[in-house]
Amino acid sequence: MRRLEWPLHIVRRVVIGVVVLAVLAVAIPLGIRWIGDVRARCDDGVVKRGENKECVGVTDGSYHFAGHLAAVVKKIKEENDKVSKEAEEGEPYVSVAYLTSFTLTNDDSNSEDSVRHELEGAYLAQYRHNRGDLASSPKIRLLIANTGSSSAHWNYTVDELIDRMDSADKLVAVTGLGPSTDPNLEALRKLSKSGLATVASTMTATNIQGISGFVRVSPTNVDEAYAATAYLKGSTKLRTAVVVQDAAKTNLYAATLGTAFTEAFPDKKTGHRLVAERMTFDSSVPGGAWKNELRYFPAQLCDTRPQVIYFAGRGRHLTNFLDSLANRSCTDHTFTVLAGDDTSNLDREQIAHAVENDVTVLFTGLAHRDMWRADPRRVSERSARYFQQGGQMDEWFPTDDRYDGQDIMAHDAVLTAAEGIRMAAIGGPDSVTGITVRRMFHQMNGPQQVAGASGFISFQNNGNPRNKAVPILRLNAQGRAELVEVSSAQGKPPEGQ
Amino acid sequence: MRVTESGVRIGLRGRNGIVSLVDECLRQPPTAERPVTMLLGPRGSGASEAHSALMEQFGPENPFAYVNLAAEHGLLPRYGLGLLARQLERKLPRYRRSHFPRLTLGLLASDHELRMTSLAEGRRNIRRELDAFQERAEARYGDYLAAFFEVAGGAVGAPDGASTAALALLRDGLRRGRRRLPGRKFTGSAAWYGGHPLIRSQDPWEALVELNLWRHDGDAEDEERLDRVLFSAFLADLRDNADHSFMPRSYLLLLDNSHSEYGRRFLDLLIRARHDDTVVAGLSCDPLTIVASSNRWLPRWGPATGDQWPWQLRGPDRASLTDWSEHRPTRDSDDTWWYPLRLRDLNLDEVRIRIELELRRHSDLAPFTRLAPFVHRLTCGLPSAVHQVLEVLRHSDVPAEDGPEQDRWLRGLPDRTLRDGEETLTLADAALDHLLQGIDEPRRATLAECAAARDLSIGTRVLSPGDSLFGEMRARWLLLGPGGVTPALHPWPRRLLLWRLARRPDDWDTVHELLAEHFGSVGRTVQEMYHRLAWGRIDEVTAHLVGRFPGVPAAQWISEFNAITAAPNRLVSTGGPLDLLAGLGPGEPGEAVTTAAVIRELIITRWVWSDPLADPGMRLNDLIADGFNQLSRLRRNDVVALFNEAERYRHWRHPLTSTSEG
Repeated sequence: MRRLEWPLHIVRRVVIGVVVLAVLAVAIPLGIRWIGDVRARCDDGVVKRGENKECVGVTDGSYHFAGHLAAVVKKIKEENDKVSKEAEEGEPYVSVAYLTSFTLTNDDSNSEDSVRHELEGAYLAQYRHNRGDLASSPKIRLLIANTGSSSAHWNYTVDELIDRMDSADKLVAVTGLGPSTDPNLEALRKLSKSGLATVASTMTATNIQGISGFVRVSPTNVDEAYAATAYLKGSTKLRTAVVVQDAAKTNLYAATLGTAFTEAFPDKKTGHRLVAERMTFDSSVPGGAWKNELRYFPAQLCDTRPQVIYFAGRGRHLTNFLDSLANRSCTDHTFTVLAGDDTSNLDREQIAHAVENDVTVLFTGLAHRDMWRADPRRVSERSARYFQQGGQMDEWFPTDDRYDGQDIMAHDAVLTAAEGIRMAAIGGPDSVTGITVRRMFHQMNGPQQVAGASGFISFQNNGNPRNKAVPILRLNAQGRAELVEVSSAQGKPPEGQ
Repeated sequence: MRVTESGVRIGLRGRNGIVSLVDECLRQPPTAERPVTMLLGPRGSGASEAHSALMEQFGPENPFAYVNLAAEHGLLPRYGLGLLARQLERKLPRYRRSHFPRLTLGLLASDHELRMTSLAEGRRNIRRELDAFQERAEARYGDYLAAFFEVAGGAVGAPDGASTAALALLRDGLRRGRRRLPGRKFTGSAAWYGGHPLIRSQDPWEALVELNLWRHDGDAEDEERLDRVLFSAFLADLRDNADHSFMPRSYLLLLDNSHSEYGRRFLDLLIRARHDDTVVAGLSCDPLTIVASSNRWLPRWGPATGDQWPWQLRGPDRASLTDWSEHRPTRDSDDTWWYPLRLRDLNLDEVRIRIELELRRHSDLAPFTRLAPFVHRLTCGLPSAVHQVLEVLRHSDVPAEDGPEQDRWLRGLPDRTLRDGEETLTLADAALDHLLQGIDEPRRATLAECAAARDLSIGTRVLSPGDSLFGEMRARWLLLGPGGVTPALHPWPRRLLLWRLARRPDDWDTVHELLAEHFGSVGRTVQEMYHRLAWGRIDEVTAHLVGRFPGVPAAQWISEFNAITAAPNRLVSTGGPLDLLAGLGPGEPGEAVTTAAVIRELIITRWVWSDPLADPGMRLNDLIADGFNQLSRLRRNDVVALFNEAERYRHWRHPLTSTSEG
């Protein structure tokens, strides 16, 4: 063996130096990260992220992401604490998360009202499952997961959720999942890959389907368009239509609605026809040029004078479109504007403003509390009663006017997850996992269909609901949506069994 | 013990070759062959200072051990080895600590007598007993080798003239012994003893019992064998150490005064172990860089004439491994390992530099820097003599001003006192005691008489036939001029001995008369006249040289004149050169400038001049030059040599090395 002749004290110093450097190389980043974590921490599992330092992550209710959520978050926290306490006495539990953007800015299509209503509906489903009319075991702890504005921080939140699968939280399902945006779709895929069951409440984009363990309680955009045409075809006064569509490439919602409506509406037997080619604007062009585009539409519409304008675009673009339409030259002609469910994301002021302009505004909503009274066979009575005037929801949240039906959709989503948990628990509480819960979605047929407040729900293999009830709603001058009719893609939604 | 500031700066002045040789040896790969460098010279020639300087130069970075093998310490080889190993174990920053498990086990096994009734019983018990010995030694001294320091620590001491830095290193090496981890026993090295060719038993434990028996029940031969095994173990440990990473390439061993009986034995065993391992057994060479000093000729080298030793002494100035390789005898002879370096006297420049270096510490020496030529003439550059003279000058009330007063003071320099510790001796006594250590007063008196002859061999033959003084002086390296030149006693002791002889005027006269007669009888007139002049027969010498003046070539006459006037004198020990000249007076009054008058004047002037104590400042140069000038005018031809001689004295330049002049 070759002798080493380097000076031992130098070698020792170098070795010690290298070890110290190695330790520092590990310790310093860890330390910095730790300090960063401490400084970035809002609460357990909730951290500050992004330029706006918005708090994102997962909470059991210890932290409320926005002031307007405080009341409902407090109730969720209390319910979660009860479950934890009962767990000490041996009562099994699992967790279900409600995931969406809770810290909203102008970039988001959802309003503060809509996400708050979602959370209220989710809480109702938790309550019903734990100690209400559907009480069963294992109990559910409801976790609130915020992906931040535009779901910019979905990755962190999703990782937090995945970590909680094997923690004391025993997370098995994630519900909500926000609107149909690319970040939300990414989040959904990652959650699915991790083995969690996922139930979307308001995600309607048709292309989001066939993802393992994923179901949604909302109709797809295509179903909405078909439900809209089914409604129109029942009317003799609304036979001519023009499609106004957002041509932004990222707006799949608009493209899907526009295309489906264009396909389904024309009917030679009934005389329903499109009187002009699709009129498009592009909301993705920087600088808000789409607003200028919208100004040119009224003149063209006055020329063709369709009875129906099918607006395939986001709710916030609809308000601008209605503003433009108010300034039309043909004030003698009454237009009926029919839009998609995103209209339900408008707040009350926006809705009131939209209907000031002597235009009838209809839209295919996702749910409405009047659906049960209008068509009792198409909606679960037990579920629907909670949402009626003076019902449990009004008792809990008396000052909150849940005009948009988002509470019902969130309720039905969490209820679907809860139903899956109940069904999976037949093999014992330990057999309740994300995988077993999501398998149960395929068993929710016939007598096992989910008795939702938005309709009876069963799922196709691709995760879409079968012929889901679609309410046709009208905006009134009070800023509320009134039920006009309950429709569906096939014209008549399923009845309860 | 003298302590100087820095051995490197002063001790090795004029011995740089030794430093570079040791440096070269230490840099060699561990298995390279290295010489056993012998520093040879009389007492006071600077060997101990060389040890100190080497220690100071290499000690901080290299493992080293110093042992003084002087007779008074009576250091047995096993103790010597223990001390060396203990010092070599010193932990140095750049190396791992060295271990000596084989040596330690060997020492341990032969230390106490084992209680046993049979070999078999001894074999059974030895491990337990050795472990017990070790534990007891460690409980008492910290580690086993530290016990050797307790017993033989006196031999470590410090070399004469060691600097404070060297002393600190030495103390550090001895103090920083290590405490062995409890439970680690040396008995693990027993297998090595089982395989050693000098031990009959192949069984490790029986081999150790055998070692014990050799020490406690064996004869002299057994003891010698034990020592050889221990030396072999020491070298095996060193080889093993140097074979590992982060270990030194070489270990520096400094063996002072190795001419003593114990020292010679130690060196014999060391050389033999190295030769047996390297040449006979064919193992790689041990990594020792050995520097030993001796102020005696070693008997193992044959007669002190050096005729039967294959080595010719080498000078230290150009010492190197290449020089050693070129001159070493074949590897078959164990003489191949020696590298004898004769420590020469300092030359004038070196004496001057030495004075200047000492000046930095002793500013009171400042006025005496001009006296460098005087000191060199007086001592011939013997380092200890230079030091002693400077010490006398430093501690005396010598007139600082150059002039007659100073000359008169220096005239009695050998009788000036020198403080050596608490002792106060005259310079002559102190110097002679040092140089002639071991020679009693009567023999010193005899030696003083014999030293009256320039050729000591003739002096002893004429004055003390049958005495071994000549051989003794030769063995002590106190003779000048090995080989063909006159075997004269070193000028410094000779001057001091003659200074003493001068106190015995009758003996002085008798000795010189006898020697003059002897040389006269053998026809060596120059030597005869040399002694006649010393005897004080100025007129006879004048007559002889006057007679020779017209008959021989000027150059030859000058040569004879110089040889004769270099004679010693017993002039009064007071007075400057001119006073001394005045005391000698003219032979015959007369105003005429005759050849005889000029030659007589020249003879006495140069006689006084040639004694550095009589004319320390060489103030008679001009007088001598004038004498030669006058002489040139009294000769009709062949005068150039006389002119040249006059010029030489007028513009005197002191030779770098000692000559017969002055």
